Amino acid sequence: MATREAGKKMIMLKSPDGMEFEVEEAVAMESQTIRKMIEDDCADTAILIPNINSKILSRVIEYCNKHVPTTGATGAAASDTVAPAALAEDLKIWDAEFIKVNRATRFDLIQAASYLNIKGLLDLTSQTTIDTISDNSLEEIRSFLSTKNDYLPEEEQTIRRENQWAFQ
Amino acid sequence: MEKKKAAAARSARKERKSHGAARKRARSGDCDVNAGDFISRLPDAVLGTIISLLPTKDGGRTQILSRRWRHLWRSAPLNLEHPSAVHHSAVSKIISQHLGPARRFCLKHLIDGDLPEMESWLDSRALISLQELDIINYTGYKTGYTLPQSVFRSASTLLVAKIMGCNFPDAITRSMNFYLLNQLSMDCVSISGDVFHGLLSGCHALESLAMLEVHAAGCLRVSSPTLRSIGFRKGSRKRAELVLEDTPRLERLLLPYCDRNNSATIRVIWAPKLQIFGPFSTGACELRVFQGMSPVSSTNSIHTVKVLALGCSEHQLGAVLDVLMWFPCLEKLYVTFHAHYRTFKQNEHHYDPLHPACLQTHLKRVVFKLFKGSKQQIEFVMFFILYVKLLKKIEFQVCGDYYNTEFVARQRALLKVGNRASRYAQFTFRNTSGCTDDHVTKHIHDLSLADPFRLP
Repeated sequence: MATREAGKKMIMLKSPDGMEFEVEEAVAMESQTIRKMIEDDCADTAILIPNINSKILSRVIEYCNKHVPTTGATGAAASDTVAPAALAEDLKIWDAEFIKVNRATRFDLIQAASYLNIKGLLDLTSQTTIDTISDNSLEEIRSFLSTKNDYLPEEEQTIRRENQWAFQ
Repeated sequence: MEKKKAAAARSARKERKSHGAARKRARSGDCDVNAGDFISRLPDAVLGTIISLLPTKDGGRTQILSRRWRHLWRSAPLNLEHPSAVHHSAVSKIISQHLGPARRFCLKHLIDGDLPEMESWLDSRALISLQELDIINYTGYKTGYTLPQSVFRSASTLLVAKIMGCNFPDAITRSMNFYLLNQLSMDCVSISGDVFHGLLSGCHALESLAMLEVHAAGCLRVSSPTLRSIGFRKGSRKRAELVLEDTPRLERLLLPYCDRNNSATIRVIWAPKLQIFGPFSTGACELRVFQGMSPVSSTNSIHTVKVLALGCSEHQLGAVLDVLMWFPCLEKLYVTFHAHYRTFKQNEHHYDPLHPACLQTHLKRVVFKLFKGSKQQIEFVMFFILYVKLLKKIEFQVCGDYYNTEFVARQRALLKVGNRASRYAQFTFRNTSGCTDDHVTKHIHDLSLADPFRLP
């Protein structure tokens, strides 16, 4: 495993389309999946991320890079350099920009966040979908998700009857 | 292990396949976003996560979106909130339909008649592997509702638990193991000191513990290798004692709405990382702080604390300085001026500015809350301007009623003195609406912000 200045351990991530990304171990370990691989010593040279293309993987790394220093860094109370609340505020704004992507990319990001087990990214990417589903009419949800209603009318009636509590 | 790997490989293959499809879609989708039903191509597990984050009813409604969604709700981790989301009768229905596991079960407005039913719910298949449990009994601990055994059936999978207005039974928690529990809140709860100690020793991952209005028989002894944050407010019984017996990772001890901590004792025995403390009021309540066997004092001081919040009246500079003696390495101080403490003794005129050691060596930031610019408050503030050597910043939080540009200009003029201790000190004024400790209560569990007293 390569090491770089300041003793930071580096990890190589490979996407299936052959791109390689060198990232700090701490950044890679934002992903619980990768953390497990590192902790189990399965990460000698490079880690192949099997199902995430380089475009998506680079965005995921961008997210992890941005989020790595704040998580769990409460040790530096009353730090003089950065006001932590301002930092959290910054992150929120950054997240909002980060997630301004087309639907296809967003769903790819959801899938990547799920596979790599990055909770913050999964929450962020799922949130728009969650917002769409809650408090909207079924037709609106279907149209937003581009999901076609393929039930027969009688099937739909059965589901409504069985789950009355959800449709009251 | 082998089995796990094989399963992981299988699911990876599956995801790869669906991912490929999604990518193909993505390319065509770039020109026409409405063309593809991308979401339905996500793996079940991901859709399940999304469903489990939805409010109870919305989760159930996803069954009707399309055939693809029909069976997802039943196996997606259940998020069940009763009764604000669904009625009592619906809870039984949902529990009978769902296959489990459950992510969250929130039970509000508990009444006595619900008990047998609640026990059967908690025993059901649907609520297996519960991660988040919320039991709220608004009528309070006085009704004597004792938590049943079944509440702790999911002990080993719980991540977050909040118990409000209930009694802990004397026998229940002795051999219980909470391997994953990270946040525990006990609000208006009655518990014996022994049960509390046993409960904590069964928590292997607990990072934050809120004990607000806990009615304890005996003292609350905290021994935990993992705890980082404690919130404490005593219940209505006369005496209460919180002992930090062995808390090697504890960083913050928060005391929101400390007025109610009258005749409470906090005893610090081993808390080598305790950095954040308060708020507590000088004089208004009889909160006693001990380190080891003796009261905290200038000779028995706590060197680890860097951030302190105090409530006082503008007449109590002497009392505040006395408290500062306890914390020689203090870097940041919050002072809230409470009008109702005014009856306390007047400021004397001579202080020894060398004495609270932190004024000379560590204190850099001071925040004054509920600042109104009265003569006494200016005098109080002036002491810090004249004697705090490393002072970098004073923030004045001013209520909306007082705050305007004229006010700020007037205060700046009043605070301008030639002989201040630190040439670099900056003054900032902020318009804030009132002052409560709500944000302090919130930060008992929110460890992401380094300073829980800071207003956002």
